Amino acid sequence: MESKSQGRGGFVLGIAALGAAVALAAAALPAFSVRPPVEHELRVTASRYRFDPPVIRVARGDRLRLRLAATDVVHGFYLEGYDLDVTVAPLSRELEVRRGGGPPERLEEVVLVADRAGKFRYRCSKTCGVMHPFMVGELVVAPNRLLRGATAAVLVVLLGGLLTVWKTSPRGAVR
Amino acid sequence: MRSPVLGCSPQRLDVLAALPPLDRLVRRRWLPLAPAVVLLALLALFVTAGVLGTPVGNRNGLVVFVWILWWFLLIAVLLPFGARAWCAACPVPLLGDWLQRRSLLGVRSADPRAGKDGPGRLIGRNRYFGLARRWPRALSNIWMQNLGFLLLATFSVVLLTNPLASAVAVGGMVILATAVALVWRQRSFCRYLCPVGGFLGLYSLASALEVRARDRSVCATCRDKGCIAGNERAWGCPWLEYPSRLERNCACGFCLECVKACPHRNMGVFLRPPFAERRLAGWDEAWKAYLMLTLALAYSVVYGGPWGGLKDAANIAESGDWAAFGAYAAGLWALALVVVPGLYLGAAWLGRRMAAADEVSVRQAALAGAASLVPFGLLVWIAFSVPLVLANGSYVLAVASDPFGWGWDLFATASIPWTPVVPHWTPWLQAALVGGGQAAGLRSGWLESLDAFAQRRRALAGFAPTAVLLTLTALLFLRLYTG
Repeated sequence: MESKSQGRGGFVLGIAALGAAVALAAAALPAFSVRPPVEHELRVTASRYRFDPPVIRVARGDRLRLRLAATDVVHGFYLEGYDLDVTVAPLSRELEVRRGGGPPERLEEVVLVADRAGKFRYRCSKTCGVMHPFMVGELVVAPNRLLRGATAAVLVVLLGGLLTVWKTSPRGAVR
Repeated sequence: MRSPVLGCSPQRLDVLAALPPLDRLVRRRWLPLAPAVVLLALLALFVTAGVLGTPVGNRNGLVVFVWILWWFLLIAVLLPFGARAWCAACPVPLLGDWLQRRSLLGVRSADPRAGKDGPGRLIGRNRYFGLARRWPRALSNIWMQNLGFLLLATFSVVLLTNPLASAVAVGGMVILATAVALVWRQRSFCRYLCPVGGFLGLYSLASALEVRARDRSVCATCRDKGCIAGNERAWGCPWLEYPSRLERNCACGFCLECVKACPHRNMGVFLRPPFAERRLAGWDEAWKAYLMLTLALAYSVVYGGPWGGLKDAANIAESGDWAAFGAYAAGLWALALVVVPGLYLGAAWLGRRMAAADEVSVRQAALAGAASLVPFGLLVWIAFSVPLVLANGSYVLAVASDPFGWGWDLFATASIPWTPVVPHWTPWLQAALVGGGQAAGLRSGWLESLDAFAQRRRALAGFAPTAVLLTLTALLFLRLYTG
């Protein structure tokens, strides 16, 4: 006979597996609205301890032309997932741009194709003050499959769990 | 056949029985003293770095080693897998222990039947120095720890980024712990005052490790009671617990004095499934669960979010804008003391009404619901801490060679540049932790509700509002981390 703990373990595993399956399915769904890639020209200003704009939202395949500026001290712009690191000095239009650990290039703007979907933080990479490690911004490239899949998973775990307990509970049953 | 122990997971592995060399090791008197002494030396070095070293936080040993390395190891490794093992080797109460015992390695024991004459004060069969008063009964809870942690959290930006402020806080804790040890007995500071100890106690419930009696029937017939009274081999439980009756991890500091003291070798260290322990004992622990959830959320917004205005408001030392800081602090306190507890209490009250369970008190329903916040809270704290180490972990290598920021290069690592390690994995790891926390939280809350409401359908109705609220909270974290 199956013990109570084994039964609970199986129940939890079943709900978790269902959640994972729905999460994968939701993440794999194509984007609802697909539009041709567009070009965004953005001016990103870095000052202690913020980026303006704090969040950049684009679609996968979009091309970004970033003009970066610093208003107080030297800042960095390190984009996670794209291995891009830019040094920005105040009163200078010239940027020091490093891609993939390569040699630095001196440019006036950074051109980037948002070919990876999801959420990527950009961080200051040059020590700029006491809150430097927490100076971040966000690039969100649609479709954000992780958010969609994770949202579906937690909802399935909740609803699946409640429904399963309800279905397996005779009215008034003790334990 | 040995009888099972109440309050223990039925599926558990006796670690000391399985690993005899470890069993021999933990019975040595120099453990956990030796690591604590090393950590005290490191603490002294880092506090000195905080006072004399560079004011740039991410180049100062105190800030980098304490708030990046130690914090991550504590919350993501030690706590889930070792419960309060940190407390055993914590350097903060070490001086107080020494002043109370006037001995580092030895044990001062005496037979109380021979009279209480002699130096110090006899408690059980151990001699202690200082006033050795009992901690006031009215304060024998974790409310002071809740308040202390909220106070520190309000000024967290200053503590985390300013080496001098960190040094004052850490040094102040050592002084306070030592002063308390001179007045009150044993580890009263750790148990009732230490702001870190409060959340370690709460989240140690979720840990995969426990110290318990192997067989309670042995304890029932034991005449020595060295685990609580002390004997010539060990001090009585410094945490003022009766080890043979331990049912919860909260107040066990893993010092293993009970393992050393037991003449029957009946105390053991056990590996158990994670999240096996769920029960909260009172409102103080429930409030700790609400508080920790609130702070995980607030920190994820202030430190991990892109909103510079919030960082400025919290960064009072640099901005000097007391109006903005006052609004930030008031918001934080309102969230921690009113909004989040109010929402979860409201959900418990609603569940109790839906279940038509008049015989179940609001307190019982609320504690059952708050049990879900133990695994969830622990995992969202780990999720919050992931980017600290993935994005900023490389500072540890650089600062190890130059903890004062004075241009040293002790291990030839000082010039290692800031190098994030797979930082783009952060949202994936965070999503997995939030999802896992929600599932484990629902399970814990459901099982506790089942105990509180006794009948499955009533338990389901009683827990459903809390389950929905927990899921909404998980969605909020997911939005922050991945959206």
